[in-house]
Amino acid sequence: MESLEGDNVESQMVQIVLRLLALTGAVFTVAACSTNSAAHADDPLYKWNKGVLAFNKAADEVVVKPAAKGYRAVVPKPGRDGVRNVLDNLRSPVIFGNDVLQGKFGRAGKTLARFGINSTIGLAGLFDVAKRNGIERHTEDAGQTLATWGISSGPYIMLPILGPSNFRDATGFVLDLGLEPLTYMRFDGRKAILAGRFGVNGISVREANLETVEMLRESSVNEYASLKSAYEQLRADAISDGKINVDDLPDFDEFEE
Amino acid sequence: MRFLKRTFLTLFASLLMTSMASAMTLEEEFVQTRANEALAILADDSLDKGAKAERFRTFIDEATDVPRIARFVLGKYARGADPQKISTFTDVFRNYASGVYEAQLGNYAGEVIKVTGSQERKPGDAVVMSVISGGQLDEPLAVNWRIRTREGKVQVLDVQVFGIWLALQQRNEITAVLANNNGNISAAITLLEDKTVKGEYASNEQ
Repeated sequence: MESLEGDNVESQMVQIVLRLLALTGAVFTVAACSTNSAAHADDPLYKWNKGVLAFNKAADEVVVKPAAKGYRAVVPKPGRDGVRNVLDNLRSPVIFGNDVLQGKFGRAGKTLARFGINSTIGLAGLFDVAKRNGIERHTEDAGQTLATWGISSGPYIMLPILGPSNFRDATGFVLDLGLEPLTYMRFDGRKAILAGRFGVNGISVREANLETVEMLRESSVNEYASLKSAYEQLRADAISDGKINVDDLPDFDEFEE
Repeated sequence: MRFLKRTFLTLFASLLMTSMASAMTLEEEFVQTRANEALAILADDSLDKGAKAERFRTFIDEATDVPRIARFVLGKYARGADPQKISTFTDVFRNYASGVYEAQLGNYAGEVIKVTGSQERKPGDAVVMSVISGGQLDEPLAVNWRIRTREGKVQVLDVQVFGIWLALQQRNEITAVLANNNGNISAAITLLEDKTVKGEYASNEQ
């Protein structure tokens, strides 16, 4: 029986990877069919990405944004903060795993301490007691881990529903499932819980960014480029844990006469 | 006695050097002073919205090198472009960028800034790190400043907030617009003007 359960986990992982590969294959087919102009030389999946962005925006207008607004209208701020805290706390095993895989043991210790404190005194993660005691939260994911191992990002890709990504981060998304305890647990409704958590997390993040997204959309002169640039900058910042490498910064005198 | 005197002098000199090393650099001092001025303008209740925006705009013009930033934002398309077009773009870009920030002016009051250090990229080109906290902010906010110093004049070239360098972000957007329009700077000018009008409308509505 046990081995059967192990097979299940394995076969599910294989299925996810296969789906991702199928998606990647589809992307390449689309990319191969479309000739990319020189203007998008650094963005080989430009046409696919643009199509998916349009789809994501439509899905946002029809489903995600109204859900986020409804969530704000119905649940008061302390409640929403609690939900955010619980979701953040549930993410701890994945963050811990990636802390360790990056050799950042001090940060791994902090993640572990936060998880221990918030899961108990913090009432299953509802309150961020650890933070109030000076143990600040940080995040890590397998995309960042791969980057610290020297793996390059690969092409930028807009994923349906999930949004901006690149080949490395999309791979990381799948690998993180391997660090997720729920992947290995066996009980009825496990899939529903995973799906529910994914949905609630999406709405919670969208609710927190209602104004920011609106402001960016309003002020942006090219939404596609704005999103791509912001994603790439945010990921670089996350990978370096907020530390600045001055050599990576652009030269301001580069195009002086 | 002479030995004691020498020891004392050496000790004094090394203490002095330590204190000099821990003193702020020119760039750090600039950020601390200028950012405090900006925060003071934002927190000044005696100014109405229009006056506040006016003061802030003057301040931005002094503290930042707008023409250089505008040129940077045009990227490779600035090279060999008509100087008149670049000048027009600079004006329009100044209006647009000010408009974006003015719409946010009401969101700040009572914050304090603390410079935490700096890194030199090359002579006259440094990044100053700071943390802004208090006031309307739930969480302390890390803000980094790209500072250029030439002949004693210190100015801001770029600011990193929430992990995003704003001028770099603008460049990625504007060069995308230019790439779609065969490098025609007039297309970017028209788009920025259009966005500026919308921005003002949005901020008046609030």
